[in-house]
Amino acid sequence: MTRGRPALALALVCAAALALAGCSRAEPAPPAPSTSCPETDAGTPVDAALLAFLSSARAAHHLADAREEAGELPEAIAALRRVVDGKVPGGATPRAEAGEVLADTRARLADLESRRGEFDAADAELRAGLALATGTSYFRGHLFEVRGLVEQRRAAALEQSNASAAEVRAAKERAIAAFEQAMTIQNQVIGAAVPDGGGGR
Amino acid sequence: MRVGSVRRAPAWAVALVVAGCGGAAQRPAAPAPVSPSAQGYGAPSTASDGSAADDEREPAESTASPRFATPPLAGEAAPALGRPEDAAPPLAEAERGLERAESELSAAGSDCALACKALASMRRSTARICELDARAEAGARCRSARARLGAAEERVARGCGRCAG
Repeated sequence: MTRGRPALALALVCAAALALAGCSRAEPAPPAPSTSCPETDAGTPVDAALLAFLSSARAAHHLADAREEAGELPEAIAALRRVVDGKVPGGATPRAEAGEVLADTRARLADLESRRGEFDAADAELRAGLALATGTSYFRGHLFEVRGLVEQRRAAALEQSNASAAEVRAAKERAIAAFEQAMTIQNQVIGAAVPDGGGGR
Repeated sequence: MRVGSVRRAPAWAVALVVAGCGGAAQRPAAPAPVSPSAQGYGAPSTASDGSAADDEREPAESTASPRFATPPLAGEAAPALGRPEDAAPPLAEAERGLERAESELSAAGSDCALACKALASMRRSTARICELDARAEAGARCRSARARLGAAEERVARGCGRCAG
């Protein structure tokens, strides 16, 4: 379900960053590591470290795509783990773009972990992602959507085992609650992006 | 979801033209290219900017010159045609309008792409809720989710048209 989306999100971020970087492409040899386009990015320079991070994250998602297609979930997870465990521009308080990439990567990791039955590991990824995406955003909504998926898979796994009906019901209830939370957030995202009256275009 | 990138691409293309190509076009033969970031768009024109602008106006003046074959009579207001200071405002205004339009197009593409992504997420969540709810209860939460989805779909359709894919 989540395949393709992280790569897309990364592509979006990277393309946006490259578009900003394009402002200074006429510079013969940028002496400083940072490039800045004050007219277009309103004072938020896209630095070399961020571009490198976005590029390596995109490569990791491509690699994970290939591994996933081959059915090699552990290898796909390992590729993505390098993104979240590696150096991040901004460190503990990553830049917005890096934070979005990390949150999206965490969501994908949770999806992959739950597909191989590692529900607690999946939940840990989601909690880490939600700690990064604290404001109302598509990424936060997506993390709740994946949480619903993880709980739905957990419920199915519990049904297959000899778990009690109450346990199964509880997992399903958590899944529905998470999906509903995802809907609430995405609805707010839509409300902000498309003001009532059709001002979004 | 890949569709979102397709919807966004034109806006980015415009942004790239504005950010990169547009700036370069104003300095076609600058010996030492200066980053637009250093000057900012719309900054006072440099020598090369000025000469480029003059070069662009040259044909207009020669085209218009036949109108001055007969000099205007004394006291008669001289026709404004061909005078750089009078020719500049419409051009500058047009450029500002183009920049505004490009900026709006870029913002709209971005917002609608985001709205479409969020809507797709809502669709997936609704499908899952209905899958889970149908098995458990009377489906009230499924109906509620569908109602919310329907409202969101209408809103996005009004503001953005149809989400591709």
